[in-house]
Amino acid sequence: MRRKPIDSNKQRVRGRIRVVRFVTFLLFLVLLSRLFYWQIIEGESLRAVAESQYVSIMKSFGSRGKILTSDGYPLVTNQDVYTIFVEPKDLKISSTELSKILSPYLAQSTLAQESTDEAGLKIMQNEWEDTIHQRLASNLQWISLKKKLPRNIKEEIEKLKISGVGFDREEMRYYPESSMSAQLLGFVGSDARGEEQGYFGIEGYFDRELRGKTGVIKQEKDAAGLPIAIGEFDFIHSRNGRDITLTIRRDLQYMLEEKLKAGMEKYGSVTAEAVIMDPKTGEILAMASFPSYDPLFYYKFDQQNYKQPLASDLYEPGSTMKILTVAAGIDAGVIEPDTVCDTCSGPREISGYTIKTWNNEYNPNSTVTEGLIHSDNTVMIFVAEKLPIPTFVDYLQKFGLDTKTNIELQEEATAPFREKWKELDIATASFGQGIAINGMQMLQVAQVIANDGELVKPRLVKEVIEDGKKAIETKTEVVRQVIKEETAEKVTSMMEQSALHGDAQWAVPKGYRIAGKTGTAQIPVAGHYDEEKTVASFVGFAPAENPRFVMLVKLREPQSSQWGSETAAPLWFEIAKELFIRLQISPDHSER
Amino acid sequence: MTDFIFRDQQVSVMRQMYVLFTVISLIALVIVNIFISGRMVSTGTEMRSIERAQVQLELEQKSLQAKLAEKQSLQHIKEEAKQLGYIPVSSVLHARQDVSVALR
Repeated sequence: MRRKPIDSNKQRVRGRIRVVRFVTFLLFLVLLSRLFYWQIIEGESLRAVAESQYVSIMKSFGSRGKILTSDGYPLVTNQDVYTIFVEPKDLKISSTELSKILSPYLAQSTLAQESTDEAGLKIMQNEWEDTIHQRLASNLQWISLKKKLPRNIKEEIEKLKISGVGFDREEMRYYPESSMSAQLLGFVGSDARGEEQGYFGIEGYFDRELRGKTGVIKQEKDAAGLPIAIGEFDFIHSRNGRDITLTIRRDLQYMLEEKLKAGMEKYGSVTAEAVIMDPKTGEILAMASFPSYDPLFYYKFDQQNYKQPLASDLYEPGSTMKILTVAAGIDAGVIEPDTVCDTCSGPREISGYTIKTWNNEYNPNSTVTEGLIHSDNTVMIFVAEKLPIPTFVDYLQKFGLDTKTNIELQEEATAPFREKWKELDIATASFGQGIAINGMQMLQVAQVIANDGELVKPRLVKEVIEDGKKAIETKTEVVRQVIKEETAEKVTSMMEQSALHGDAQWAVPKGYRIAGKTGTAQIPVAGHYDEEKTVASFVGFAPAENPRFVMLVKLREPQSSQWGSETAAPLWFEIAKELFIRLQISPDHSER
Repeated sequence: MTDFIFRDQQVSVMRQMYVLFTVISLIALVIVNIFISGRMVSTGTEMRSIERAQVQLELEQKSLQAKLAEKQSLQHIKEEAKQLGYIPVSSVLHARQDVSVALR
């Protein structure tokens, strides 16, 4: 009887223990589920929050590669510029005061960028005062005031020690020779995402090579935000873009641009273009055209000026094409330089069209050489007619008139090559009409003749440099043997005669053997040729016995005279005189 | 009996020694920790200042390179030459190797 209370006590205790166990188990379960929630479900975001407190992540940007001339001088490099911003919460002066302090500096920077005169400074200063005031009126945490602030102005503002004003560094292109070679270089703008993008010229063609790569540095920091030496450190290196060394010779480029500008003014042409190439290696030594633009302020210029016209503009070459016709005829063995033309006593009737000479004068029984000297269309038709149509077309293709020259310019364009050639097409093509090519293709024709009949690929890039070391070196690329060496020699001699006895003989520098040909092509306008508007050109090379350069000069719509012999040819010879000095070519006194 | 008393005293001394050693070790560890932390902090400051100096030097170098390129530009050289009184060459004479220059 006395045992019962003890048993009931025990049972009560056991019951309590069970309850405690159950509650403990429940608590443990709750704890586990909570741990699961924090560790597994929220773990990732919490780790990120914690990491953001003790790890600093910094982005580093690789610089865009430089573009250098063959002597290593930077035609395009980078300069540091700054974005000035304001953090209103840290400002200790009023927005009115701040705008009064900053406006003279920002106006000064705008003045330098937009080349405005001093008179505009005061107006600009007032404008900036209003702009700063307006921007600071917004409730943003971070307000950008001006981009592309030069370093000197940034340093001047920094000296004022205005709390709440800061700077972000970025890079922009810098052109030490200002607008020299603008169309050759292209420019850097922004793409749809606002990232740097090269357009046209070398910048466009080699955009991927030139681009720098962004890097990331992840570093553990202490409470003061300073890096911990033995802390976690992880990085992906930023990488500078590759530098590109061009084949361009700076002295020749400068001289060519000066001469071309003067020539354009002298002859009153709408455009002026010229290119100089080493015929043996295909290296472009200089290349220029006008009107041009300033790549730093490209947005202020007509978009028409962005492209390098020697590669992008198609034109009918006119009489300069005659060197190809005679080369094809001689190479195919159907004519010789002294072959007499028996169909040249008057205008030619072909497929119902009458074809005349440029001056409507005819020289019966003239030789092919004389035909080239007098730029006689009927003689060229005579040569072309001697060749079967497919053979002539084959020569056009072998000279590369059906494909791009593949020069390293983004904008190179070619006309679609005719699939079916009729008698009239061949006749007009023989003297450079009814066929459209770009300037580089015309230069290539002369290069073949200057280089013993061998076509080499024109190139603008000498080498690509990565981290100060040569990564790629370009080499002379022989495309094909277009004509026989003997043919090239004969045509060279004929071109020499053409330069020496042609209409531009008065301008030929004494003591040098020059092979060349003038061209005057009418411009097709709305289905007919404009009588007044012409493209005057001269293509040639020198010295004829051992060509060191081949050059094309092209003037569009010259006003002083429409003829190539009176405009482009004298300009060509003037440039050639400078080249003889700069390339150290001494005169040959055994003149022909 | 005296043996027991002597052993108890020995154990007590040993215990005191252990406690003392532990306390001294802990103090030493704290000092080392403070020293290392101090070093780390100063190294961090040093690292930051070196990083800043590196960035500054790189900026300086870039700025100087730009200035150098500007001074070497042909446009600048032309202007400088003009100021110094140089004029373009009007005629170029070539000397031939096969003809003696000093005839007498």
